[in-house]
Order: sequence, then C-alpha cells, then structure tokens
Amino acid sequence: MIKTAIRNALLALILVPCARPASGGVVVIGHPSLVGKLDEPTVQKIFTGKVIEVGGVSVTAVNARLGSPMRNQFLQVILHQDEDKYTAYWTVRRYIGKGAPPREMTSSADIITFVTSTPGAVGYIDESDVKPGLNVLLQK
Amino acid sequence: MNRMGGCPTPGCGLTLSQSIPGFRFSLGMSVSLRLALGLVPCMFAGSAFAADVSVSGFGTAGYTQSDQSFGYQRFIDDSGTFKRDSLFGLQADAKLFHKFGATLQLKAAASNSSDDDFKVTVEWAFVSYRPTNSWLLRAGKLRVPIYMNSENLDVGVTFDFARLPAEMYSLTTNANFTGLSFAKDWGIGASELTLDGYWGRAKVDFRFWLRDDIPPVQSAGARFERFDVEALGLGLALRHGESLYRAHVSRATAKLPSGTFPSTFPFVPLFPGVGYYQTSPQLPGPGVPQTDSTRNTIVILGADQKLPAGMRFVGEYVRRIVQKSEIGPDTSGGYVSLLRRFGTFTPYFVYAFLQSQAEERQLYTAVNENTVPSFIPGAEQINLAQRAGADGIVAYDQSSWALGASFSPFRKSKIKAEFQRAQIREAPGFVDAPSGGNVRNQNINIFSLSYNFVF
Repeated sequence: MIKTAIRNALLALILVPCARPASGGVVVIGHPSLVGKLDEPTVQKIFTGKVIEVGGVSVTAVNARLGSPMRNQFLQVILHQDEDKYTAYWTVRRYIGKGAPPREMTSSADIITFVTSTPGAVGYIDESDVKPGLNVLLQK
Repeated sequence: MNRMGGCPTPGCGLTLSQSIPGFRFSLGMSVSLRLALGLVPCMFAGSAFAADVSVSGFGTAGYTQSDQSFGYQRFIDDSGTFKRDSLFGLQADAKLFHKFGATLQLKAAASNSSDDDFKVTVEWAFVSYRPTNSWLLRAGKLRVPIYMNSENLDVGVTFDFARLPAEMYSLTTNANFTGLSFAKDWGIGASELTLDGYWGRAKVDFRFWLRDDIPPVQSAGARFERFDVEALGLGLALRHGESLYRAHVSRATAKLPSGTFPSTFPFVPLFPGVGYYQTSPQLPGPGVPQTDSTRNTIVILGADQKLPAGMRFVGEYVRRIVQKSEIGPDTSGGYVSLLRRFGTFTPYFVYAFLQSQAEERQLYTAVNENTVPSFIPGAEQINLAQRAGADGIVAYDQSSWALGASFSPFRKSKIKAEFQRAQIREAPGFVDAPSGGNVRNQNINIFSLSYNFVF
C-alpha cells in the first residue's frame, strides 16, 4: 500500500508537468446500458456515492487521476467544489461506513476503455477526447 | 457508558495476548465476530472482487499533558502521555456486487478494558446492502450514529477539535454494536432528510476508579466491569448545504452478567446526627438494594450551522435518563463551539458541560463526605466503605472550555493544538482522585498537540 502510494506520488510528480491541460468542456460518458441523458444533480450524486442506480441500472463511477486538469475541471464545473472539499467529503463518508470513493484512472483512454466495457460505468473526459459511438450522458 | 475518554470496545470473548516486559499487546475479538471476520475475507477472495477492494488507514499521534498530578480521562496528568489520543487504524471497503458491500476496520489504541494495554480490536465488520439509492441496510459489527461524530470519532482528520468533548462523547455507549441498522434518505428540494435506526448488542467495559486500598476487599486503582448492552435507536438528520441538524433517541439496557450491583445506598442512623450509608452488605443495616441492569434513555439534539464570514457553529446536547439505579450516569451534557476557517487554518472555541442530576450529585456528596466518629466500633472500616461506595456512584459535575486550532498542511492530514481548562465542581467525573483525597472545585489545565492523518 505504502509502496503503491509512493509510486503514485512519484508518477504524479513526473506526469503533472507534462499533463495536457483540459482544453475544452467536460463530457460525462457512460456505458451503453445507460439510456438517455443525465442531469447535473444526478451526476453530482453519482460521484458523491448518493446515487448507485439510474433507470434500474447499477452505476459504477470512475474518476480521473488525482491532480489531473480534467478532474479539477470536472469538480469545478459539475460538482462545484474543489479537490480539498471533495477529498474531505469522501474521507468522512468512508469513515462513517458509507463506502469508498470512485476508482481513479490515469488517462482518458483508460476511462473510455473502462466505461465502454463495464455495464453501468460512468466517467468523464475532455470533449476533445470524445470519439464517435461514445454514450454521452452530459456535456458542459 | 465509559467514564474515561474514547469509545468502549465490546467483544473480548477470545483474546490472544503476548506479554512484552512492561507492556502488553493483545488482539481481541468476540466469538460472535469470528463468523463475520471469516466471511469478509471469503467475500474478498474471489478474483472478480479483487479490484473493488479499497484499503485505507487513519491515525493520530497525540501528546497531552495537564498541570495536575492526578489522572484525568484515564491517562492525562502532569507527566504527559501519548496514550489518551494516539491510535492507528486500517479499513478495507469491498464492493462485492453493485448493491452489496463489506467493510472491515481494525484499530490499535489504548485498551478500554485495561489501563496498561495497547490493543488491536475489530471495530467494524459488516456487510451493507443498498437496494435503492435511498436505502442503506447494514448487518454485523458497526458503530451507530448516536452523536454527530460517533462513527468517525477515531479519525481525527474528519473534525477540527483536538479532542471531541469528553462531556459529550466519553460517557454514553459509543460502542460498536453487533446488530442491524438502516438509513433512508429523502430529497426535499436542496435539502436531504435521513432517518436512521439500529438495533444491536455490545459488551461494554465500564471503568471505575477506586481511590483507596481496603485489604482484602479492594485495591486502589482502575476497575473494569463488563456490561451486556442491548440498544435500539432512531435518528433524524436534515442536511441543507453545509449545515446539519439532527435528533436521536436511543433506549438501552445495560446488564451485569456476573451478578448484581447496588441501585442505591440506604442511610443507617446510629443516633441523632450520626450514621452511615450502607454501601456494602457486610455493613449492618437494612440491606443494599440490588439490581442486575439499568434502563437508559438517551435523547440527543445537534446542529452544525454554517455562518457568514467562514464561521461555523457546532453544538450537541444529550440527556441521559437512567432508570432502576440512583447511582448511574443520569446526566445532562453538551457543548457549543465556534469555528472560523482561514484557508487551511481553523481556530476554534469550545465550551462543554456535564452534570449529573441533583439526586445523584447529592447522594455522591453525602456518601463521600459522611464519616462516623472514631469511638464507633469499626469506624475506620465504615469510613473507608463510605468512600468506596462514593467511588461506585457515577456522578459528574464539570465544565470545560478550550481554545485550539487545526492546521492542514496537506489534504489528508491535520495538526491540532489545544489549550483546555476543565473545571471540576462537586463530583469527580473523569478524574482519578488520589488515595485518601478528593478532587473538587478544582481546575485542570490541559495542553494537547496531535498529528492526524489518513491514507
């Protein structure tokens, strides 16, 4: 666990200066099993663990890597909060026994792969990474 | 029900202990928990679930020192201690299926059943089921949200106070119950209303401090009695933005499985103006009324209100009603606090109080101060028995104020410093009074410094 944390920290140090800034809007994508669009409050609830089911489909949220421009933009534009607040929220929620935060993925490509292959998966990417055939649930 | 700080930890039916010179370290778990513990690794074991197990940890390295030679909240005195606040915990959260989860939490901290041990305990071991977005059902060993910070009280990063007020958090069962709980949410506009309830059983260690050696009856020092507690409760919480308001009612029965305990001490008059309280069946008198259990009703109100200019008000009030005993913790307590956030720096002020009902305080004072003249046969033993009886009365009469601050140098850590002044009035409460003496109408100045983290 500690080794993993150190490795992630080192990776973050290496990657952050090279990370491509989020160039456009935020696009929330989902597995094709999720039919229709989602409104912003629903997306907020999915990424705060308050909603686990949409239209009868169990959802699994995935976040972008901690500190990534995409994640910061998503938090700001969709969740209307910063990383400190979001981390603090999940710290409390975890330690009142109400679950763990969404899994983190290192790149948009990983998020797209996971979302398209996992029923009920919901993630977000930069609009410049949107490819034809992706199930767009919300765009801002 | 624990008189000291921290939460009582039930469940030590099976204990593995290893002695190290001057220190004991033990791993304890109840027999009833072994089944749950056995289940959780099995549930984690399937490769399909392996990726959904999240392991995290938390800890506090806390140093505390007072300006008094006697103990306060078990460990705090003028020689300083790390034992009062330091702890380390690990938690595994597993998402088994989309609607099922399991949580296991281990904690290493000062034992609740001994002042000498540092113990690893299973705090949580439960499975959860969310049939819909608004329902949460849990079964196993879990801590129920009696107070605002009951569930997360071991995780210092989740609050700004150096120590949650003992007047509120160190008395009623913060024990982890083995049982069932539910929570149901309703969205009301921008607000969220939550109804939660629980039923469960726990073994709770209650600590008494005996001031005097009375050979061969008792030795001075801490004595722990283990009670079987069965409780159920209902709570209602309304969250609006960053503000929270909550009310909770619990009913609990605490039973001493090893026998009975006094429910009061009758006065035995010898002649006008002189007599004694029969604190022991060995003393002549009408007999000491006994009970094998107490019934407790706990009513709690709390609010965490966001205020303008980055300020926050946090306060809780608890009324504990104890039936079937006149020597139990029939008390009113609470705290009010004001916090102001300046970026990563949050100074705060807290005022807290805890007071037993007048009958308990009067009985404590009467028994504690009563003496018979030396010409009465057995006067010395009678007088010692009066003090021993007083030590068995759970009476509180104190308040405290604290000025402190938390500082978050990193996202997942907090450094906290606090100065607290506790004012002990007629009843000793959390004080370990010295042999042959009393501690009353006295101030205790306490300085605390801690580093809190999660990972």
